[in-house]
Amino acid sequence: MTHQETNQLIERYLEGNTTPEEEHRLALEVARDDAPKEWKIISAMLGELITDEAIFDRMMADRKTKVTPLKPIRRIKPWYYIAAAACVILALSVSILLFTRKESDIEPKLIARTTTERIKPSSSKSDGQAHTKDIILKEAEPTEAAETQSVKTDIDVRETETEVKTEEPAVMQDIPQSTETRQTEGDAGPKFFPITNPKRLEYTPEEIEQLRQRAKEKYLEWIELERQIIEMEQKEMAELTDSQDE
Amino acid sequence: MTQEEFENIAPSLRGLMFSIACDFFGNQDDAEDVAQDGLLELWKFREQMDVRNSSHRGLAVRIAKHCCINLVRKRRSNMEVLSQDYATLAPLGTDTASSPHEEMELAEMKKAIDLALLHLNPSERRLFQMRQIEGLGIDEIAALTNITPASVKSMVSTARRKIFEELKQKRRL
Repeated sequence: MTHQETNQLIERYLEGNTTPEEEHRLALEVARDDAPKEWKIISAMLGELITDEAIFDRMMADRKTKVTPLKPIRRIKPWYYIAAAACVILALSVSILLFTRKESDIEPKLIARTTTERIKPSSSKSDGQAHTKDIILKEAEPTEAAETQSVKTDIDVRETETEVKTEEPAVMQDIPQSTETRQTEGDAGPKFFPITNPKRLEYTPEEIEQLRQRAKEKYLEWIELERQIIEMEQKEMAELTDSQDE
Repeated sequence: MTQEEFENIAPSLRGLMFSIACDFFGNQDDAEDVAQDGLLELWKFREQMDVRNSSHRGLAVRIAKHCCINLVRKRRSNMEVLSQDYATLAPLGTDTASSPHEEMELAEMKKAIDLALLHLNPSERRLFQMRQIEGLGIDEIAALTNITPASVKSMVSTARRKIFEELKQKRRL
């Protein structure tokens, strides 16, 4: 309400033409801190009852119209749900994949390593040079498999070859190929093919025969050693009993 | 209104004031205070109240509202409650709080108005009070006093102008 409007309302009040609602509005206007002195007289004339009633009514009206600021309702958009579900599915699938691959690592594998033992070179070598390869067939331990030369059965042999090369470059590069199959797989120079998968073992019948022969010899050696150990133990036992008798 | 008549209507008026205060404050303790203060205020207007009409209910409502705002003022001035609790109660620009100087000025003004009322003739004073204090409309006053509405309006206007001029003069002095 402007100053002029208030003055007009005061004039109407003094003439007795104001309604109770207009008097309430007037009471609010003239009760202001910055009201002129004349307005203060009108405020006093209106009295506390009218002024306070006007204040009360206005406050209650404000409360009704005023929307209390509640905490905003968090509405999650549908695509958030979709994204969250996708993330969960992805995480689950990755974890399942890793778990199953770990399980496959636990399975026994065949690893090729250099040993001091030698196998006679194959007769089918094209260059005719005497290639030797130190091979040992053993079961890979699950923990070692991941760290060393163990190779997963479902991974290509070529990948394993590069791993082994990087780990033992000096030794591996000096070892020539021993089979025709290996020669056909790679012509870019000498390569080492670790024996990882029995399906990929493609030795010639002569090499297999040599391996069998060597295994037989070693087995006999082991039997002989066992026999010697038993004899020594018997001797020791006999000496011990003699000394006790004496 | 006699004391007995007032005591008869007091419980219902007290309940009315209690419900108004309860709506305003939202708690029963403050509403009880307002109802009690309201009854004391009503008692002051006992002589002006008439059992034959229901204007005393309107007066009780106005007094209850006045007591509610008065309680807010008191608490503000006494700092009994945190200002933020009651700061939002009153609309902006409304003077619910008052300084001692303002209170003294208001008290002087009340005295001046009471004095100016004494200078009015009885009919003018009665109509002024019916309009001002009891909050009755022109038509209601006309019906109660058997005076034509135009005359009521004229007499009310005269009373208001007289009081206004007297107060203006006192202020100038």
